[in-house]
Amino acid sequence: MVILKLAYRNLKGAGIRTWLNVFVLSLAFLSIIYLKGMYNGMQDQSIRISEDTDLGSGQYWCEVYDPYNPLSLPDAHSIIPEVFDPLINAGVMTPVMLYQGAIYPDNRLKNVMLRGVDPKQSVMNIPTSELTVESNGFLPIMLGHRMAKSINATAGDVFTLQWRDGNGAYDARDAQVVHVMSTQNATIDIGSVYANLALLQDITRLENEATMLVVDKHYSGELPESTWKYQSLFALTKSIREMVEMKSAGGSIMYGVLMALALLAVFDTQVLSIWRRRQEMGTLMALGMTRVTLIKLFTLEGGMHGFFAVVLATLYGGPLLYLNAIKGLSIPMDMDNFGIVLPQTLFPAYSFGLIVGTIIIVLITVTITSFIPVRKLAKLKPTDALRGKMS
Amino acid sequence: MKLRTKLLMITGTILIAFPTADIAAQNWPDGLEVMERIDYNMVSENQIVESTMIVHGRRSSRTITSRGYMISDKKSFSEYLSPPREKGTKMLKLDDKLWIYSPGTNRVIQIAGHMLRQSVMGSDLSYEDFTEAEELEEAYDCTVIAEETVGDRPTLVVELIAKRDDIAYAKRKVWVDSKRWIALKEERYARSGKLLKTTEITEVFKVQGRWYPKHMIFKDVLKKGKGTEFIIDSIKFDQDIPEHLFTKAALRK
Repeated sequence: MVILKLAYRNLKGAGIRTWLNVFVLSLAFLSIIYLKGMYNGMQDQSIRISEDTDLGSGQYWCEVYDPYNPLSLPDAHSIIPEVFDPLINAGVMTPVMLYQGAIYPDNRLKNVMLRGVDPKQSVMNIPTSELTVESNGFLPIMLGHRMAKSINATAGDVFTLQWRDGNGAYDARDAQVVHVMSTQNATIDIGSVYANLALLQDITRLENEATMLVVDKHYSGELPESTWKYQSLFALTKSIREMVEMKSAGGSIMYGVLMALALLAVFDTQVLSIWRRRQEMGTLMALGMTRVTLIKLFTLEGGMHGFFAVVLATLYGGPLLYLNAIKGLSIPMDMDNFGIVLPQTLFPAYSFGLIVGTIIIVLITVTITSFIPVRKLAKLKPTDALRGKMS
Repeated sequence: MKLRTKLLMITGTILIAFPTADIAAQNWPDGLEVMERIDYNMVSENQIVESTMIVHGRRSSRTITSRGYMISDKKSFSEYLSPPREKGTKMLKLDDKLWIYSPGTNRVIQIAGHMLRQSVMGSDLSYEDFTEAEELEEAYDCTVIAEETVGDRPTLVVELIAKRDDIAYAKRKVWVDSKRWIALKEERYARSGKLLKTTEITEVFKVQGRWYPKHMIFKDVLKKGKGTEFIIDSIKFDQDIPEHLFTKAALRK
């Protein structure tokens, strides 16, 4: 308790030097929490958006479908197994057909992925009911806002859609954009053209076929066994987690540098303290303080920088982080065109574990950094110290 | 029903089903025979072709020269000779499979899936157009449907209707020079009847006793632009082409 009081008094006595160190350390501490919170928020929101608009609580893939193998796509469709009929009829599962095609907006070729969806479905949160709109004999299609922007199309536009049917024969018809949907999920937008599943099955001569079945996110009942492979939401969002992990690792370099700068300041302060306070150390030892207690005192002084940094960061950073968590951070539109699921407003997620974990990391690293220069006190002779000598 | 009424009905049905112009069609050669006569000009055991392709872009045109070795419709190997940017690029086709070698990356890539729809060097030809391997007579029912003049040449219009559902184009129309037995124009249609691609032959020449196209214009009708010109600079039939050329290993050499 005595050394705690002594350490506090010494730190206070150091004045501006202490508070500068504490401020720099608090900045590093806040940056870690802010960046980590951002990445956590990005991951949570991306998964939530994907679950809501595309993945559901999981998907069944037809035998051939492999999204990472473009060569599998032309054959990635087969007859929907009858075992799924009850769930499809109950509306907890919806078939989706992915089919390669090309569009010619303004007479320019653009390869697209045709997404055949049931207009009556409610599993995916996308306005598929718009596909029932009459379109004057044209094929009714729907685009995402990014896709519409990239081909300069608006609702009502007509252009040619070309594809090869299930037998390999070319077919083409004029299609009309009946709706442009706004979605936060770029992966179901960029390069995609939505069509009525029944119509797509008809024009491709693939009756009752689909590529996948999406399971409603609220459904928690039994899932039937089939030759179609079931992919859980966890498996389907692996790429999102890996991406965030990778970005987080990249970001850790930045806060690693910040932390290193702050720790360097603490280290320097400790070295300077030991050099300037030789006689004080000698006096303390002459008065009966053991070397171990002296080491504890100086280490505690250094370590208390970390504690003050946490207190200071809470005082000025707490409201800032809270405001950020409420208001979110708007992402520029051109950033969500990367083809990954990114919300338009990013809300950071500061978990209890993140904050406590970061506090512990900061306190431990500051204490270790404070201890390193203090180790030499173990060899300190009180007589030398009183004379201002350092062995 | 009286006999006279019956005869009138039959005659009426025939007139509706076969209009007068088609009655004259009985004098036209059989569609299959026309296609066989074209084959006499076009098909050889093998060919070595040097050609120039002029791709008309929106702002400028690009000229690409290449040398190709072909054995029937099944195997072909071509190498781009110019411009410097494309020089050394090679393409190998074996039946319906296609590989491309790019010297810049020193990699052989199989063209499949979406990539087959990509244009070849920015032209109106897609890689898919190269992968067609079946002979027209085998894949289509050929019928002569009209006589027309293309330029100053008399032609027979042959309609090709796919025999099976798995043929790339459901319908084609070919205008065949009825004196030289060479196609001067072709139209390819989608299953819906929409015109997709046209080929126009504006100049022909005689080589080793065969009439052969000299200057062609390919056009993807759905795309904007003037199309792609294809000029045969030289062609040699029935040459001695080493078999090892038609292997993936030859692409890197």
